Amino acid sequence: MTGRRPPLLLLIPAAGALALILVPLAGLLGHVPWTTLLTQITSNQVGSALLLSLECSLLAVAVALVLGVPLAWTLARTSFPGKALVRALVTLPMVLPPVVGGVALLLAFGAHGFAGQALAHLGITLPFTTAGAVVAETFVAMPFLIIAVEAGLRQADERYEEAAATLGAAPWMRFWRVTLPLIAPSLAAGAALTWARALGEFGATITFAGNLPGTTQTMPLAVYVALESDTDGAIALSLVLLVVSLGVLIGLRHRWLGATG
Amino acid sequence: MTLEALVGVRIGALDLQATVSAQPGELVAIVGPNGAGKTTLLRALAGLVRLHSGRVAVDGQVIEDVEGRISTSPERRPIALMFQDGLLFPYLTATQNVAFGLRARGVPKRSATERADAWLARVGLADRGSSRPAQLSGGERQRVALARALITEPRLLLLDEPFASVDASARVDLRHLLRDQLSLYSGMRLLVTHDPLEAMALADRVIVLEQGRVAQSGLITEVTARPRSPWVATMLGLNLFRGVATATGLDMAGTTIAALSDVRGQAFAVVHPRAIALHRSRPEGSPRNVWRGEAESLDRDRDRVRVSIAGPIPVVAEVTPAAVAELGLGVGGAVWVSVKATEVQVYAE
Repeated sequence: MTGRRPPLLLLIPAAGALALILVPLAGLLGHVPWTTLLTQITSNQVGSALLLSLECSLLAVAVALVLGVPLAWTLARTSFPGKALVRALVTLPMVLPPVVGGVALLLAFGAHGFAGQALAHLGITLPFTTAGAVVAETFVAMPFLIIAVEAGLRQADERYEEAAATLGAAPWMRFWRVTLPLIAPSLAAGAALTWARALGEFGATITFAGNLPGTTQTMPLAVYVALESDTDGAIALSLVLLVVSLGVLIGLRHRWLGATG
Repeated sequence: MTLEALVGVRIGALDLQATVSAQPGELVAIVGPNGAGKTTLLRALAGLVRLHSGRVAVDGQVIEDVEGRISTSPERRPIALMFQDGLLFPYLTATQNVAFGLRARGVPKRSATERADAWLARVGLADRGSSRPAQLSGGERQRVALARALITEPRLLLLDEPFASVDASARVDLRHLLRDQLSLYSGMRLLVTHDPLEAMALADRVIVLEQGRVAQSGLITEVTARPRSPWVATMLGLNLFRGVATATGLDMAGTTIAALSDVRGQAFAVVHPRAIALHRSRPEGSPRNVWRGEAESLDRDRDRVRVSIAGPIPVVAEVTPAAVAELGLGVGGAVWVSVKATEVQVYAE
């Protein structure tokens, strides 16, 4: 810091940027029906959307952990032809418009899709079911987990795994007892981000799983619907989503904001 | 019960080709400059680096043989490696760290914990079992690492610079502890160090590794009395010369240092720095080797001063500070050097 006053030409747009973030939040907070908030959240429609969202998003995190951690490990610790392509594909859902993801899921897993027909033989239907909502959320949110875990694996000192090997630990034990504990912070951060993203998922879910109250109508979908009829309900749900987002942000602050003081 | 290993490894610029053997109860030190391949040698024995050529046998059992296509994974080798910086698992307590090898072998948690605590007591850390590595000092961490390596009763224990990450004050204690614990351990041990003093304090035999090759190996007394590489001589603080031994002495491309020896042909000669006398003017009397040189540097080493002298035969002399003062010696100052022929030890290459 030089101590000189920063030029107004930079300060004014900077304040504008901050305002663009804060003004809508203030708008939301200004309309929160504080007195009836608890009744709103526990009301039938809002309550069921809340529970369904929790169920779907937590299942999505679980699926992302079971499938994503091994993929992150493969990307971090092995080399194979086409690895760069695989890594790019993994991050594709982060930049792909979610609605496109939903269309793609529908075309693959729908009644006429090749994967959908295969699953139908097993008696599994995904579109317009709760399981479909979980798949849509996992599709969109899993990249966050994979990226965080792969970065954690790259930073972890592989010599700990070597030390475990010389102490008699077989590969599977090394993974569970050494690798995972070493990357626990990255794993937790990745899971938190994945959960936040899954909880807020809208486009892919509504396209692939529909908007069926109690089955696939998660919180973001309920907010959208409620805006027409039950504004207070929509605002209450929005507040819940905002609090969750802020919670994840505060929980991960050391990861992103710690260095800047 | 023996270790017989021929290790051939190529990694980057390193081309390692070394034969290593050890007998039960024996501690073999592997010394050499940085980058000589010492750590790679240990890692290859432990199975962390694949051999390009050679074979490793412990107690007659072949655990790796490139030609025979035999390779045992690290966790199945009867070999433990104590890493330079300990590498204790940071998220486990001292007890859990020590118990790790037993748990990996399927020992139930309770008995593994009991045995780990008993081992911690053996290394003088009975009350630190619940501490995490970050709460331990460097010396304490290495004690835990030693207990962790020994608890599985390996046939061969590999120690990679066990004192490098420990500050000087804790080093003496750790060395005593290591010597005591190793004397109770019946297996073979290889100790990697870049410090010949450490090797001398602990080892029975020494292998000098330079640029991936064994430059010299033998009993400590042999190697210190008859160094065969400039690095060993420098580390021991000795003057080493290489040339052709003749009836009059050692001939080094025209310059001869007089010696009394029956050795003929390619040979080394070693002169202890304390056997080199310095004079203000040309000395009278019997010394056969007398020449004039120039002091290049003076280094205080405890109660002595090591003086590097440039001249027809560059040498290092070790004299008392009083002698330096008496000679009025400073950097760049002229000085007369004399060495008795009887102080020049000549041995064949």
